[in-house]
Amino acid sequence: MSLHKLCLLCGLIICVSGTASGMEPDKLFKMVSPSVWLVRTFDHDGLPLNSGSAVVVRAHQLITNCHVLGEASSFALVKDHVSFKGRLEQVDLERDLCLIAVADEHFKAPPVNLADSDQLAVGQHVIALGNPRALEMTLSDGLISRLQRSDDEQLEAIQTSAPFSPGSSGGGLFDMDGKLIGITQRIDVLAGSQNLNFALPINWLKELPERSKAQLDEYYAARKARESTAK
Amino acid sequence: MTRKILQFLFWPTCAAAAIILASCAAPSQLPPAYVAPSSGAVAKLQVRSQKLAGPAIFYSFDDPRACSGGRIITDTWASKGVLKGSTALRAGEPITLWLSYLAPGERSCNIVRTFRPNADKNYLAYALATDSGCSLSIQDITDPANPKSEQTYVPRTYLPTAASQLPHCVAADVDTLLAKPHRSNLSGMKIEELLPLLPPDSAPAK
Repeated sequence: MSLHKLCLLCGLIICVSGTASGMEPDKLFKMVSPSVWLVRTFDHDGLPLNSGSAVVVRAHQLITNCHVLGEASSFALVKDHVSFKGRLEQVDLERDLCLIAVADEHFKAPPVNLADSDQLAVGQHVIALGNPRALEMTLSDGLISRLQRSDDEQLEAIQTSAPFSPGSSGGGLFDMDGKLIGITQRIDVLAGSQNLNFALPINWLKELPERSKAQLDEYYAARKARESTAK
Repeated sequence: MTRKILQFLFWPTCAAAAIILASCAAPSQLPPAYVAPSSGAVAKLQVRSQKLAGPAIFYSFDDPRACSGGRIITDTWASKGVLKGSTALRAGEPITLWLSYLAPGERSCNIVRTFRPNADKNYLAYALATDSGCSLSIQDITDPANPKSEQTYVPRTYLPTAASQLPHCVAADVDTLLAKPHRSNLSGMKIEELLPLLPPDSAPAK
């Protein structure tokens, strides 16, 4: 084999391996960061209450954890000192997923690409992007450490070694192609635990409208029944 | 010597405190003991706790829907500070369990739960005292290597009244709740907490 052909072959191998491992984290950050926002909540007096993260999944629509919005009277989506008023559209408390929206036409944040979270594998490299302790756009990386499944083998949580902290909630867990695989939700803080972090599978987003309607209908029906009993 | 005297006095003191507690719960007398079913399909219930710092009583009720007719399954003075007991439950019928625990500082912790045991299953009710109160889990341990949270486990609202500390349970909804599969709540929230944020059109038209 000539030296020329050998160099071509080496180049091809490097090129293929580069594609298989996905993008470099800095390029990935540039790609997905416009879609990850800080959620700031306010009480009924307009005072700051809590903060978290949210990811744009469709034009003007973001996904976050419902617990980020707990006890809030209003909330805003914030990035680079620009703030947009948000509104809650869909609620799935059982899965801690809430869909929020920004009506303002100036909100131009691009939606991320969604992965198929049923195709994930333990050992896959991932990055987490969110706003821990309101530190805007904090990037961390790690592996998929474990895929937590229910008795009927449905994916319930993506355990990862990518560190999260309070405020990361609602942020994005991405594969190395920049596709959203999960929503960062919780950490195990029990004594002795190290770097046990959990994200909700992004495929749950597809079931959110139906589950939200069912939970809201159930709540309003129960409230109506209580009011009737009280009369 | 002093230690021995203290040890001698400790459990009678706890027992007295528990009797006082129980007499608060049932002003007339201590509730009777639970009687296991003598015929028909049954499930096994084992009750355990960590070592508790105060007296605790574990009850069931003759009427699991309204929580009336309390009966003692076990208590802490029978086994020196831990809840420990084993009994049979009628299978296929709802049973309501009440953990009543008096933590140090006279902080009381009460948990009322209903579930529907299945025939030939083995259940473990485990009581745990925490800094903020207490908790009660029900697990199906028929396969001890693979314990599972009981799927029909329904929390009941504990509503003490001025006249009595006995739980008052809202009876109407229990069968509906038991019929539903158990649903986890990862958010740990109630919809009420998000009501100010929900759009007005999320409520059905009246």
